[in-house]
Amino acid sequence: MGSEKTPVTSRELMNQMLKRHYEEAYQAKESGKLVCWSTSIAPQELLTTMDIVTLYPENHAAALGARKDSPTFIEHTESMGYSSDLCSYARVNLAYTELGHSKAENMPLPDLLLCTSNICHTVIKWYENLSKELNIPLIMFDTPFNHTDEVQEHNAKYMKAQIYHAIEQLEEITGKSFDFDRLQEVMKISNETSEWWKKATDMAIHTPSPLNGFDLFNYMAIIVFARGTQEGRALFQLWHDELAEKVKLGQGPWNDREERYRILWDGIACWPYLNHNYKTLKNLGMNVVTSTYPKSWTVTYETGDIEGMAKAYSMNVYPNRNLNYDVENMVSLARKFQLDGIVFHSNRSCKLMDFRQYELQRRIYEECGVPSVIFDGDQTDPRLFSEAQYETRMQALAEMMEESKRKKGRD
Amino acid sequence: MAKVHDLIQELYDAGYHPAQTIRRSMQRTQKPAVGLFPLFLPEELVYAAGFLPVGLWGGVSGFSHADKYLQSFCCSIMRANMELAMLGSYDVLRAILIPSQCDTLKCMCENMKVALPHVPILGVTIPHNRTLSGAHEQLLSEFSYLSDALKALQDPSATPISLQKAIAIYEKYRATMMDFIQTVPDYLQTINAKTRHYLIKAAYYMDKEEYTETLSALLSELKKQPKEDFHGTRMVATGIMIDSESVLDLLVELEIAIVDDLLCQESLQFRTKTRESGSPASKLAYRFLDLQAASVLYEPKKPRGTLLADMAISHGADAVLFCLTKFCDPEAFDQPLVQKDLSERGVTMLSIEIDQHVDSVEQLRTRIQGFLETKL
Repeated sequence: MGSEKTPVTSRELMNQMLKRHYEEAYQAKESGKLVCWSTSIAPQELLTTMDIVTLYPENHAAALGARKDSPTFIEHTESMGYSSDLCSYARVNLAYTELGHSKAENMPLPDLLLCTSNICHTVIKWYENLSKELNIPLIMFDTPFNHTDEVQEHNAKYMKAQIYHAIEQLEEITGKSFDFDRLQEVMKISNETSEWWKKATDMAIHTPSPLNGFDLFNYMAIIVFARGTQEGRALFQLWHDELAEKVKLGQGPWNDREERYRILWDGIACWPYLNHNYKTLKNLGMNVVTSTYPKSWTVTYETGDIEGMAKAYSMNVYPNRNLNYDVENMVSLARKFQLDGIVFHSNRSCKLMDFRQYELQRRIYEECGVPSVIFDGDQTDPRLFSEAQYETRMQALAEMMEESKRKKGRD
Repeated sequence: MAKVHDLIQELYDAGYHPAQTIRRSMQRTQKPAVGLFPLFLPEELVYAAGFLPVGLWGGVSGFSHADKYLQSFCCSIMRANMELAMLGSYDVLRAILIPSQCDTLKCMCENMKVALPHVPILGVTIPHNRTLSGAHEQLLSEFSYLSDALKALQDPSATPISLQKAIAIYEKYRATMMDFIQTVPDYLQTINAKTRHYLIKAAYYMDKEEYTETLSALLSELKKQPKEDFHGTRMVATGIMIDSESVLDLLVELEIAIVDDLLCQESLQFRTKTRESGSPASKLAYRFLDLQAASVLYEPKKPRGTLLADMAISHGADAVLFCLTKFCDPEAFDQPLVQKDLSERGVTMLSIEIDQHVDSVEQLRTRIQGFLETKL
C-alpha cells in the first residue's frame, strides 16, 4: 500500500479503493477482526460504528459477472440443488461460499450477516440460507413494502425497534458496548457522502452530460461499500469537482462522439455484457445520463435520528415503494435530466423490479411522452441475454427518439 | 357409507367449482365477498366485519390478458389471478386483500390497483422479524388500519360480529381441519390425494361455519367406517400448493396418497393454534408470529426440513413430496436445504414442479414412476 502512488483523479482513487477493499478485509480477518456480509443498501452505520469490516456479496457477484467468472459459480449452484430461476447474484454468492475461490476476485467468508429487505424479499431467503449453512448470526432489518404513498407510522416504529435490536445483537456478537457518539459521527459522514454522490450524479443534468452513464455503474460499487467513510466522501466530492470542471469546459461524455440522445437505464446492469451494452449505445449516440439507482444510495436523514435513519432505508429505495412513487420518480427524472428515452432491463434475477415495468412504461409515456424499450437480460447469468435482441431494441429506441425529436422540432 | 360419499361429493364439488360456490355462499349468507390473495392473511378480521372471505389461488391455465402486466417468468398463481381479474371474474368482490409476503405479491398489489380500478385493493404488511415485540405492535396497528378500511366498505345492512366471536368460529374450523388431516391416513382409499385437496380447498369459498359443520358431519360418518388398507405410496406434501388437477390425477393414478402436508394452501392455513391469552387482536397477531415452516416466512433456523422429517417418520410415509411452484423464489431457496435435512434423517424426497399453466404431465409421469421404482 505504501508504494502506491497518490491518486490524483477520482478514477484512480476509485480503482485503489476497490483494490484495497478486499485486500484489507483479508488482513482484518487474519488479525481477528469480524467480517460481515451485508445487502447493498443496509444500515452500515451500525457496523461501521462497531468497526466491523463489511463486504457486499452483490458487489462481489457483479464483479465476477463483469469479469466473466460467474458461469463457474452459477453451474455449481445448480449442482447444489438451486433452481436456475433464482436471482443470479444469490446463485453466484451461494456457490462462492461453498467453493471459496474465484479467479476474478476473492473475499473472505463472513462471521456475521446483515440483511435489509428494502431491495427485495429474495435477500431474506438468500441470507437465511447463508446463516444456516455457515452457522453464523444473521441480523435482519425488515423494511415493510410501502404499498401506500408514504411510510406508515407503525412501520416506522417497527423499523426503529429493529435498529435497537440490531444494536443489541451487535453488542452480543462483539462483546463491546455500542458507542452512540461514534454513531453520530458515522451518520454525519454517511449523510455527507450520500449528498456528494447525489451532487456528482446530478451533474448529468447538463447538456451535454459530462458523465458517461456507464461510469455510474463503476462508481456505484464504491457508494455501496464506502458510504460511511471519509474516503468515500472525498471520492464523490472529487468526482463531482471533475464533472463540474467538464461542464465548465463544455465537455460531453465522449471525446470522439457527440451525445445525441439522453437516456435513463432502469434496473441493474448486464454485467457480463457491460462493454457490449455500452458500445452499442455509444454507437447510436445514446448516453445514459441517469438511472433509478442514484437515489437509492442517497440515504439522508437528520444526524442522530434513529427512526429517521430507519425510515430513510425504507423510503429511498425505489423497489420498496409503490407504483405511484415509481411513476412520479421517473417522470421527475425525465424532466430534470431532459430524457429522450428510457431503457428498461427486464432482469430475470429481479422480479420486484420487473413485474412493474410494463405498467411503468405505459404511465411514463402517458405522462411525459418519453419513448422506451424493454430488453431481456440478467445481471450475472450470461445465458439469459441475447446481443442481437439488445441491439435491435436499442436501434428501435433510437428511431423512436429521432421521431420524437423531429416532432418536437416541428412543434 | 352412502352418507360419507354424499358429504364428500358436496365438499368436493364446492372446492372444484369456486365461482359457483362463491355465488351460492353469497346468496346463502347475504354477505358481500372479499377476496384474499395467497398466502397468509387475517381472515378473521374480514369475517368479523360482516364479509364472506374467499381465497384467490389462481385457477386458469391459459393466459391471454395477464401479459399486459406480467412477464412470462411470473408464477402461474399470480398470472392466473391477473387473468381472472382482467376477465372480470373478481368484479363481484367488494375488496381484495394482498399481503406483501414475496416480491411478486408486492408487484401484484400495485398492478391490481390499475387492472381492477373498481375494486378496492388493500395491501397488507405482515412483518418478517417476527420474534421482536415491535412486530406484535406493528401487526396490531396493521389490523386496526385494515379493520377501518373494511368498515368503510360495509353496507348499511351489514351484520358485523366481534373479533372474538370470529376467532372462535375459526378456531373450531381449524380444530376440525386438523382432525380431518389426522383422520385421512386411515381412509386413503376413500380420500385419495385429489379428494383430500378439493375437500380442503372448499373452505376457501364457503362460509366457515357452514363448511365446518359439513366437514364435522363427514368426519363423524367416516370414523364409523372401518379403517382402510392402503397398499400404495404414502407421502407428506410440502410447498405453496398442490393445486394442479393434472398432477393430482397422476398421483391418484400412481396410487400416491397424501398422508399429511406443510402446504401453504392447505394445512399451514390452520395448523397454528390461536394463543389462549391476550386481547382478540393480540391473539390474532400471534397466530402470524407463531407460524412455522412456510418458505415466505423469515426463519433463520429453517425448521421446515426437520418438521417434515418428523412428520414423515411419524406417519410411516415413504417420501416427502416437494411441490415446487414454478418461478417461486422462496420455495426454490428452501428446497436444497429441506432436501439436506431430510436426507440426514434418512427420509427420501421427490420434487415436482407445479405450474397451473402446464397441463401435460407425461414427463412428470416418467419421473415419478422412475422415483417409485428406484428410490423406494
